[in-house]
Amino acid sequence: MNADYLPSRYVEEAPLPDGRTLLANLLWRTFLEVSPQEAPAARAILRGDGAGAPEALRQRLVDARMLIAASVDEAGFMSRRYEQTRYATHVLGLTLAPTLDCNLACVYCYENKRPGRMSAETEQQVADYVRRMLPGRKSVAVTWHGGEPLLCRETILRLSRAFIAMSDHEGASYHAFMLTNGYLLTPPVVEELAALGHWRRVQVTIDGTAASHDAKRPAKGGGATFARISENLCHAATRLPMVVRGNVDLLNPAGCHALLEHLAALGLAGRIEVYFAPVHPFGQGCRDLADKAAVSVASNAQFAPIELELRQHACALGFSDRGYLARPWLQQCQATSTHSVVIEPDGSLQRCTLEMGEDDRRIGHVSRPIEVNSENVLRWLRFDPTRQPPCRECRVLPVCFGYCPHRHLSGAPEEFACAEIRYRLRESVVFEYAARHRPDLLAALGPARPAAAPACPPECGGAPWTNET
Amino acid sequence: MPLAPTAEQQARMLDFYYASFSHDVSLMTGLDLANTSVSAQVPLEIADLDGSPLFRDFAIAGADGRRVGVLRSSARGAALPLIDAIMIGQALFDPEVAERDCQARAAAEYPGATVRSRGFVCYGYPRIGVSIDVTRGGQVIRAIYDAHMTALVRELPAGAARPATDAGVRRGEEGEPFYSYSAQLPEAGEVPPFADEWQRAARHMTNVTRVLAHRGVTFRPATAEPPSDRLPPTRAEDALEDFRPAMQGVTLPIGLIGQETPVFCAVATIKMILGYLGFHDPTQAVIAQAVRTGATGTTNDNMIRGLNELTGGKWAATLVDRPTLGDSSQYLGGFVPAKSGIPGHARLLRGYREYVYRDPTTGLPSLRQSFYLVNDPYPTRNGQYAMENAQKPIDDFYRNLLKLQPAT
Repeated sequence: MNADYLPSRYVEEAPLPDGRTLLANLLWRTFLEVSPQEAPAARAILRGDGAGAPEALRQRLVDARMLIAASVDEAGFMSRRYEQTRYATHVLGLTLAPTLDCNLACVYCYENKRPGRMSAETEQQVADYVRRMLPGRKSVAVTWHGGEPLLCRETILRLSRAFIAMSDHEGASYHAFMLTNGYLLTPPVVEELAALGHWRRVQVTIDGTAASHDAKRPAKGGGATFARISENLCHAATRLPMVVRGNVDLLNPAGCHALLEHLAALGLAGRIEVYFAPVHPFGQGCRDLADKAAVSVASNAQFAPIELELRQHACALGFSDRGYLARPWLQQCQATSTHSVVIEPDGSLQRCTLEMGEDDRRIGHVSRPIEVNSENVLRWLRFDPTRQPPCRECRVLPVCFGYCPHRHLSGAPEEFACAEIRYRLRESVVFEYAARHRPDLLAALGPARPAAAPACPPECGGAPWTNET
Repeated sequence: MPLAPTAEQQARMLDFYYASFSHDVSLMTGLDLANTSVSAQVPLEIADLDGSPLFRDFAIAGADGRRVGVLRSSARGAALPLIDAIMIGQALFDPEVAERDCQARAAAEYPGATVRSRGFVCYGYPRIGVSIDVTRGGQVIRAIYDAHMTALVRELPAGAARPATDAGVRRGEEGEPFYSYSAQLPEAGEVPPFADEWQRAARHMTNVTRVLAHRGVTFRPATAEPPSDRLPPTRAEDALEDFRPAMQGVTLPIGLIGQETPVFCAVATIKMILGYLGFHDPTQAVIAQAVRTGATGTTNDNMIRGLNELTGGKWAATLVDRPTLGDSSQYLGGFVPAKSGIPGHARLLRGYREYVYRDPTTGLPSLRQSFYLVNDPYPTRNGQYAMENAQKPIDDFYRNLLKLQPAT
């Protein structure tokens, strides 16, 4: 072994369907395919005992960063990145909830809902806060959250215009994001939002086709919401960067597959992003989740194979894959950063959206300096997966970068605190590699659909999927 | 920095700006450009059809010397933008090979004649050709060969400063352009049109370099470290991060499709638009028929009619003949691509970028650079991704924007 280069800690080996072996470096996001004949020698080199192994193979391992310079401290590098991002002074991140009220009554909602809207006085305080914080920053990212943010459309329009003007004046870039249930995202509203510009992602949550979605996400008054949201999405996708999130539990995977077929049949595959996330029982609003018949929570260990099948299906339909290895590199949750805050309707500040409405978790108010020494601030700043066990020892750390800090701080069990990819690591890596570099392998990676697909419901346009709820 | 710098001075300045946003280009192209820089080697000089200097193509290369792209700059100093375009990906042609092959082709196509290359010319932006003098029986003609395809494009009488007709430009058709870029430039005044941009860029670079030096950091140290030793980030990279511009823009995920014939630029552009909108079936031949493509291309009216027909009446296109950057970027912010016209040529606009640099001493905005992200269906059967300066000296650039919206 050349002492100048050592095996990286983050190399994952996985067999490819054609008999070759894939090496993936989870930190540097590099791949290398080796032939069956080369694989034993490659393994030996990566174990550190490759004396006599071909020099050309060793060089390929170096080029692909499976072997890295002995001077590079990978764990130290990640710690430094974590700190750099935590204390970054170039960005200002705001998550704004103009209301915690909502027009839907999702069975699994984690929020501590309450009526009330952001007042004109608070709007002014928020604008003043941005004016104070902006000088010297290169970018401002605003995420409209709720409750349902479109219940306060006028607030969004007024504050967005103010933020854009301030950013222009300071030479900072401005990016807007929104999480909405989509019910109020009607064509006239879409036009108003589109006229503002600067949208990066507008996310609508749809939990399958009509039967499963309407069971989980009914209107507050009890009506169905799928048809209207689906119709709104079709128009919105012509004017805004739409993302569909499907919340998945053990009851609706088939409904989510049907949703993919439905969206593809609407011609949206090339234009919207779709991803799936598990329903978890965290947050004050969903502590009685276990008693609800319409939800059956999946741990991340259970969710992992479901998610992989959904991603494979989405890929086959032409949706772009939001691969774990293609997401922003080494970027942690904004809750642990010092440059981002969550602003509640009354101007109270929080670190985490999961704690919105929890008065005892507040870190201050938008009109006053944050109390940096308060326990509510420090508990987030103490969290550092790159230095704390068990994350620091985990090979998946470069991919999840600690996953959701709220889970860790809440003492969630491992199967909820660890990212789903940990439970299907090899399969996921192979799928992402094939999707990007070897599409010829995709068909051989196994069925993207369950073997016994039930009969097709009428709304999914002939696709062999249906809802289970 | 003089307003007409040497190639070496120019390379240094271009490298400074390329380094400031190369990580963004990486994200757009999906390529690892971390260790790439603008090469200080002699750039490829590209002349206009009238023989005057026009562009300098600087290679973008990795630490191992491997070329990963081209940065096109001005060969006329501040008369043209500092950064005209950046093209990342496989090189369309190797200059040495292209020049040799075009000469060989000319020798074969003009038997008995003496052929001599006069170098590279831009014969209709962004098309690059090799200009060859063909001497036979005492008569000399100029033959322009496409550098990528090694195919004869046009013959010109020797000494002709420009073609008699600017094909594809005057008739409003978008097909195969052939014109003198120089002849389209507005009359030169006392101050070159891009003098302000060049001066701001030079001043900003000087200020940043001075502040970096104060922090003990040299931009691109002379002894380049091997890539593996650059990890974790060096002090220089940390310091440079402070001087990266604020970035704004949109990038639509649209794959490149090359035009199938020399006049199918609009056809291939529409093919890319249709694919994005979910209409994958029509071939270029079908689209060509729908938009009535003739021997010299097609018109915007035909494209509007064809787009509506090809989408089954679901999408309508409208023409904006003189869009501003604001118009185009706001439209792209709706995440629908557009057809954009440059003289005689149709291309796909799939995004834009605006970089705002701030003075390191005052913190105030000191320089803005705006680029369009273009899927150019030229060259035939290939195409190229380009990031082009939104400010062009020719008034006719980025004209005839075809915007799409769902038909009501």
